[in-house]
Amino acid sequence: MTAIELLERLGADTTFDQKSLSEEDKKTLENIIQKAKIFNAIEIVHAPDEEEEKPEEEKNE
Amino acid sequence: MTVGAHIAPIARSHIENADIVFFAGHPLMEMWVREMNSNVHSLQTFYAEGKDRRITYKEMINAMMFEVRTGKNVVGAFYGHPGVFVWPSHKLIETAKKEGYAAHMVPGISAEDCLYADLGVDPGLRGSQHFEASQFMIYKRKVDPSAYLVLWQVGIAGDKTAAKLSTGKAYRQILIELLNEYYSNEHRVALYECPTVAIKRPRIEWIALSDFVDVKLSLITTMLLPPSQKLQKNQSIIDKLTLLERDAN
Repeated sequence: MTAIELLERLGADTTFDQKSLSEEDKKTLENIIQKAKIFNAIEIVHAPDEEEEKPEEEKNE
Repeated sequence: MTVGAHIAPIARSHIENADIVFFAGHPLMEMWVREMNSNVHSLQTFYAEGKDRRITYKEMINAMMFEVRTGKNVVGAFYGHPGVFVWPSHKLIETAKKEGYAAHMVPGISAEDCLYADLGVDPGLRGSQHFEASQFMIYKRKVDPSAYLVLWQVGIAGDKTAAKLSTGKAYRQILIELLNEYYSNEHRVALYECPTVAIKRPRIEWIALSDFVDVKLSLITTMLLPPSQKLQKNQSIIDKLTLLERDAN
């Protein structure tokens, strides 16, 4: 099983206990988790009224 | 949101059957999505430190619309709920529809959903207000201290540039001062981070509000402020309702 398959099963299968992971599996998972650490989750949020503000001529149409 | 756990069957089916999938989110999630479809393109490549995220988002939309216009079945897969804190997904659907293409969003499991489960908070109990931390600071917002307050992206609280990946202690201090209007420095607040993998525990750290200035924050840290005041009865409305009930009888 690949590392991502292991993670998928750990997340989705309640009968798959992480205690049953082999040392090699644990090492593989730690490795993949460490490598994937940097992640930009940031989203900017504009105020909707500013975003939707239209030029005067458009408003008068 | 956790690999393996947090995906709706309909979302998975869309990903599996797409001609091309664009993905934005955690690298582990991306690896997971690549197991579902062999033609996955990362949207993460458009991000860069110092680059205005508004430009990034426009580039994402252009890349996805390019494929839509060639007639492909395109899926944009976003970390968490695709419609929560994701500007490009809404804009993409709007753009595609304007050009006559069928487009829709399917809901996902957001960090908010995980927060309620992990912190044991029921937003229906006292009400719940949600603000993006920077927007909360920059604009005058009304806070109801008898309800829960959830501040998102506190790691970049006060960022006006839309280009930072973190802000510092001075920014956090200003946020604390703003919150002090409703919450004392001793008020207990929770810092929350949803685990990406099932072998990790969620971050649930209860601190005094004043300690927020010194804590370690990440890009996915959320702050939950429980109510600081009791619910106040609205007696005039109660009286009106009582009259209605009396009249009905």
